[in-house]
Amino acid sequence: MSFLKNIVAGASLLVMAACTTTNSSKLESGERPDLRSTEAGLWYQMDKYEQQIATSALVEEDVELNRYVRGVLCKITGPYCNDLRLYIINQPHFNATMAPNGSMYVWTGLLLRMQSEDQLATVLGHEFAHYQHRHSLQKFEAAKATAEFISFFSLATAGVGGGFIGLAAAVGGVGAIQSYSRELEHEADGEGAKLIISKGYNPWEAVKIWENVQAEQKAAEDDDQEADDDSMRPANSGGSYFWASHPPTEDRIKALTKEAEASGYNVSKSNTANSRFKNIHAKWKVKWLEEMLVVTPLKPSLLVLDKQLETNLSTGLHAYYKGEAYRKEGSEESLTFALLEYKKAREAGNVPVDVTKKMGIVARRQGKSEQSIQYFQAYLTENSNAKDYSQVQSYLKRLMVKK
Amino acid sequence: MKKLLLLGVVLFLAGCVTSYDLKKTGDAKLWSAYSVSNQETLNETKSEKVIVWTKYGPILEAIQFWKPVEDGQLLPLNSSVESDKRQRYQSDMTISEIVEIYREDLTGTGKIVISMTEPETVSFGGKEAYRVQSILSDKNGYDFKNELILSVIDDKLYMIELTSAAVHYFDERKKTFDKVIQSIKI
Repeated sequence: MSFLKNIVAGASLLVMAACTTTNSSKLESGERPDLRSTEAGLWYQMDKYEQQIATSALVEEDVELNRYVRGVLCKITGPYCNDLRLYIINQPHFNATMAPNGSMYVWTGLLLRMQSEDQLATVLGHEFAHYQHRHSLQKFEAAKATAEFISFFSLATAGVGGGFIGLAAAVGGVGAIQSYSRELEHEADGEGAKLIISKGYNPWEAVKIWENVQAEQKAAEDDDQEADDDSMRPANSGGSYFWASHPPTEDRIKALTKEAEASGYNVSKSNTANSRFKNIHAKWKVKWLEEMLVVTPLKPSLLVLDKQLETNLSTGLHAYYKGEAYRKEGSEESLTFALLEYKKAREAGNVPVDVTKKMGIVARRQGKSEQSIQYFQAYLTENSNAKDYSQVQSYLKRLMVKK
Repeated sequence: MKKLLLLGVVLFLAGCVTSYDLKKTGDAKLWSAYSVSNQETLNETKSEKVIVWTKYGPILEAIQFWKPVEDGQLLPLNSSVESDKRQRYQSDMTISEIVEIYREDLTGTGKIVISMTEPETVSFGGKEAYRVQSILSDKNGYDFKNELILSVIDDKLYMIELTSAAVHYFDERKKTFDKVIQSIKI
């Protein structure tokens, strides 16, 4: 049924594409496409998807967080603000997408990796530039003239029963509406940079984002390579949908550096609004870090964690989550590192109370039953009201029996 | 001729659809490991790894009795991650470690885990067991609720799962699920 719907929707897009005129000028605030236009067809598809996603648990509804991110979006988009709908999506990968109908989807994995409001404004500005300059439509028009149309067609129509975010997730963000040509990406970078500079944000932060993305991509590739070399080692399918559609190339970084140099901003100039950013970020950091660790391999996880130190992650929590990343990876070497990090976390203090239990788990995995028993006993002594008290007691019982 | 061809196509397609049998009320022995009492007429399908009971259809709700997992085996979820890159169940794992690999495998099935509760103690036919509830979403934004009961008995991991559409069906089927869990006899 959904297949049939896709065919019908695809056919209607084709008919519209063949019979109608298109407009590739800049979109004005409050403007809606002519109902007979191809653009209206694209909007219609995205409106349907947006309706579906708006009520999903995927959308983070926290009022304070939404108000803050939307506030930054409105600051940089000015009169366009009322045309835009922002959805914060509970997905731990680094991604943000903008649909041609004005719906913007920012993933929590991206928010985690942002180090300042300037960086957040950069990403929002970049995505907004795709919208304002009708890049989806331009991509559609360009694709129509090439074999690429087939992929665009199937992806655009899948939006009827699938979804915009779903599509990005399913195809890794490649080849569809979200994968623009190098020219369109450069235009979005440039326009986005101009926009944020005009609102007092530091464009050097844009350079930093791409350097961080580049480093994380490299770490993920190294990790994949090592996982392939060692078939006994589990690996998550990390990677990012964002860098698949927004490659962090050298020329991109160079172009943004040029833009920043021309702006006259100092690299280290800090934005006063960043204290607001830090407060919000601090509130969500732990949740987002925990979710990130489920889907991200060891090396990029460690990189993200190290970057968090720059946004006030305490040394205790930094060590605790590094311990978590090593423990989840599970190799003999990693378990040794995990135990060291947990010890550091304990010494630093202000870390989750289960750190001692985690040490017991690692020691047990290392085959050190005696040590494991000691850690579990210490955990029970320190946390007599722990919810998992009976659970840990049962581990202890099993370890004692085996001893 | 056209009609015959059409009939052929229909029969061919019908062959691809998972077939369900009527499951009448009464006791049911599962995996030669435990029995449960079923108090309503349901639809049942069996495969190598799982026995599924559903009243309104598997897209809306299903109770799944997974074949007990032995030491060194993968959890029986249909994760798209290559099997040699997934963590395997080990009988000496703690419950929180098992829940971690369950969460990773759920993510591998394409579902997005929005939230998951901490393991809570329940009974599995008188043996120690744990309950974990999750809210999941798929890539299209459809929401699901899920409850997993897991227990390690004689080094084997027993898993029974209720998965259903988040709206209406979870609450509707939870009562039946709870009765099934309470009726387990080993």
